[in-house]
Amino acid sequence: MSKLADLIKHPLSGLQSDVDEAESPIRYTLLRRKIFALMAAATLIPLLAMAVLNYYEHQSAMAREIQNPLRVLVNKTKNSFELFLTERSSTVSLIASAYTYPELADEKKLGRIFSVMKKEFKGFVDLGLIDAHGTQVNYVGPYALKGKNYAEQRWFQEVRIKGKYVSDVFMGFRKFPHVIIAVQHMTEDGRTWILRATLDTHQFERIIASMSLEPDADAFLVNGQGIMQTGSNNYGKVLEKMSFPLPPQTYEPAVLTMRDPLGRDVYLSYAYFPEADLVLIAVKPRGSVLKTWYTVRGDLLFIFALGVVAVFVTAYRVTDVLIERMKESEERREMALRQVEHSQKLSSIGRLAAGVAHEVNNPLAIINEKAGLMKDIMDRETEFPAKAKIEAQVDSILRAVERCRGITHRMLGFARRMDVSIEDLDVGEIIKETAGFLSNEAMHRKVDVRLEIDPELPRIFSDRSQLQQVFLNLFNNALAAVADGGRIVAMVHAVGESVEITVRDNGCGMSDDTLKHIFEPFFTTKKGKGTGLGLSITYGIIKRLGGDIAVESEQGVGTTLTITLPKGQREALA
Amino acid sequence: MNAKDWKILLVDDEREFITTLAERLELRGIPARVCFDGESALTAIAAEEPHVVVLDVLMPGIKGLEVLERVKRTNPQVQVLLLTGHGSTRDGIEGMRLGAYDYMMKPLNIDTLIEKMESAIDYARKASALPGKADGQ
Amino acid sequence: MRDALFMGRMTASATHELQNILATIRESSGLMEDLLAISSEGFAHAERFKKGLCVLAEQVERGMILTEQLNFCAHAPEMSPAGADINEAVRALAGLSRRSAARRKTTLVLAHGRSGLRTALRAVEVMDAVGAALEAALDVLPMGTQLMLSVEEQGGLGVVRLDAPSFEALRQTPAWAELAGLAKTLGIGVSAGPAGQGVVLALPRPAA
Repeated sequence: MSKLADLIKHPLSGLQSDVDEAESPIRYTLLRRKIFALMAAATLIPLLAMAVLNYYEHQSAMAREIQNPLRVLVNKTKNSFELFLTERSSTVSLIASAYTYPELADEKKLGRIFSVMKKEFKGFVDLGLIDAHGTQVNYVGPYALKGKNYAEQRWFQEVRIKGKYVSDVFMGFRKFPHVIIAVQHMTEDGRTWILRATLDTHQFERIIASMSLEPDADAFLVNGQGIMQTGSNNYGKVLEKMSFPLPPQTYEPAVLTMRDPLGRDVYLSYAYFPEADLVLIAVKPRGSVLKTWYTVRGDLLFIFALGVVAVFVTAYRVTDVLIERMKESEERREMALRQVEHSQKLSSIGRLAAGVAHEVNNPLAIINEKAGLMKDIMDRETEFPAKAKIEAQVDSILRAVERCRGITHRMLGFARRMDVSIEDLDVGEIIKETAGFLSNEAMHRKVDVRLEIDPELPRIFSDRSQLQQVFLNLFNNALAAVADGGRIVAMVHAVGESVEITVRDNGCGMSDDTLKHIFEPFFTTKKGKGTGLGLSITYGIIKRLGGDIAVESEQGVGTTLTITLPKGQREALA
Repeated sequence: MNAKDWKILLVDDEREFITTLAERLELRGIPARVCFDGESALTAIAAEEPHVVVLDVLMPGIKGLEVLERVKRTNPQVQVLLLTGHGSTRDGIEGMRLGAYDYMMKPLNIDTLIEKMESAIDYARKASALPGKADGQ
Repeated sequence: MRDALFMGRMTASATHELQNILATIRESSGLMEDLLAISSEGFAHAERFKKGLCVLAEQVERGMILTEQLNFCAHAPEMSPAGADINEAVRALAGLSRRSAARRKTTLVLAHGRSGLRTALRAVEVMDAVGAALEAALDVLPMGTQLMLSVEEQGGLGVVRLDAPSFEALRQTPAWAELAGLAKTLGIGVSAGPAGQGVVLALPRPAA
């Protein structure tokens, strides 16, 4: 965790030094991890912040979105109710004023008025005329209420005072809920009478039904005391007390959330009637309402998850590319350097080694001559006391110089092998040239040197000076092996995709034992003379040029060396 | 030809080396003159016409190979043995192409040197005996 | 570089052997000196020998110095985290190139350089680049001149300066292409020396 803290504090400065030091593979891995973590964090943290913000914003927006329609619906429905009641009470009021008392008291006439009322406005159940004493003197309707006295009833008293009265729902005769509208009329001469109509609460239910609520939603009317005016599915039947307390009184329709007695989370939308003692309540379970929100939220989460995955994948890929590029450029630098080395005649260290080996040869040569001279003098000198001892030292020095020779030769052998410069050449030409170098000695010793070179020999790609070296070595060996008057034959011809060079002599040959070690470094049969490196270097050169070398020999008969060289450049040359 | 009749010229810029070599040859009854650079060598060759010139390839001033070329032009019968401390046979081969009789590497074996000198003188004698034969090839 | 490192290792082992051998030669020569000092009666050439042994000893020393330089070369391709010491590399190169310069009758002088200046490059890379510049210079310089190499600090970077010939003349040499290519690959800045004389190689700063 502290590493993360460090990363946050100085992410870039740390990276800079990391980039510079990224040499070994471990470095690359660590660097990769660092870059990846940084990228992921830099993208994910804002993404997460945004997602969270978004979520909550969305949630409250959704809530508002859901609540508004509810509120509007309740408002509209409340208005519908109000309109309904107003219409009906206006009608009663109109009739009360339009007709005289005797007309209203007339059965037939009242009956006719009532049927017109019923036709025009749905919901009237009965109509009655009540005199100033509270007696229903005339009645039209399904119940036998003529002659009933309402003087003791509260509504009668209220209508006497207020002049108009709309009742709550209550159980009247016949035990089903209805509402009463009563209007008092006063004549000029002070006579009063009351016209009373009963309304069917069925209409209420129809208005509520017009809200078109979902089946699990509920809407109903309650009065100021919490008594249900219409039936509810969940919160009480008509005239029962509502199963939860009234919401606080507001002037505007409002929505609140609560937990209902059934344990559900619900939206409660309600509107207080300004004129009547009524509250319209609509209840919608949040679950259903929020179903859409949950879907949207689900989508959001899904997209967020996708986004996170995308970020990780991209960060990983980008880091990958970055690291690869870094590796590539490091490699390219190496390659370029190697190419530069290749295009030069000698690889840099090879050149240096060659230079110094040469340098070292000079003091060695001097030491060799000086010690040699001393030996010469000693050889010609007569005895004196210290002679033997001095001679021993001189011999020791001469031996030491011989050892040095071997070392510089070896070093330069390596250097030479690094230096491969390829050109298009004719092997036959090189053989001829090299053989020519021996012609003097060969003539001197009467050795017959014969060359058989295929005139159609194809040109090949190889290193001229290294091949000169090799052939010189072979010819020298052959010359050393043959006796005076012996013969050396060199043949060059194409064999398939290669060129084959054979050098055969009829000299002393080699034992099987010697044959086994022939290409080993420092192996020599030239006692004290050779360095034993010639054939091993030859072997190395041929191998490096992509070719092969083989030897056959029989003691007392002769030796044949066969070299095969490829025509073109092979991988071995790289 | 007797060794004491040989006329040998040694050319190398490493004084200690070449004078000691001359001393050793003297001890063996071979008279040898010494030069320390190409210019004086060319002068000496023109003046005395030695049988064999032992010539170092890497010298300041005129390079050994250039001396070789000039000698082969002015005094073609003079045989040249090249000395190379270079460790690579490249100069040796180049020299042989330019007409040197043979080449040797430093540090050198004095007996081998004397053998090669003998061989060179022999060759020169035979070559000059035959009319019209080209030298150095 | 793998080739170079391999060569380096081979050269290092060879160098150690050479140094051992030179040491034994020194011992033998020293012993002979002692023997001659003690009892040289009956030996006519004693004086000659003594002179010879002096020369021998000188040459052994010469060989030692050279093998030391060779040893430096052997380790030159190695990468070290602190980079290469510029002065050491240039010194080694100068030592190696002295004879090459002498052949062209040019004296190579190494100015007393600032030690402790390092570069991100390997020693062998520095030697390659300076060597290439040296080759170009030696091509152009007339015989009998003196060429000075110096290691300085310029603008926070370690630089190697050759004081001759003129920059323009250097640019015309065939060896210049090699130097230019090498400089580009290694990230070395090549510019003219003061008053257009010579060349300045600015070496990249070490990573640390």
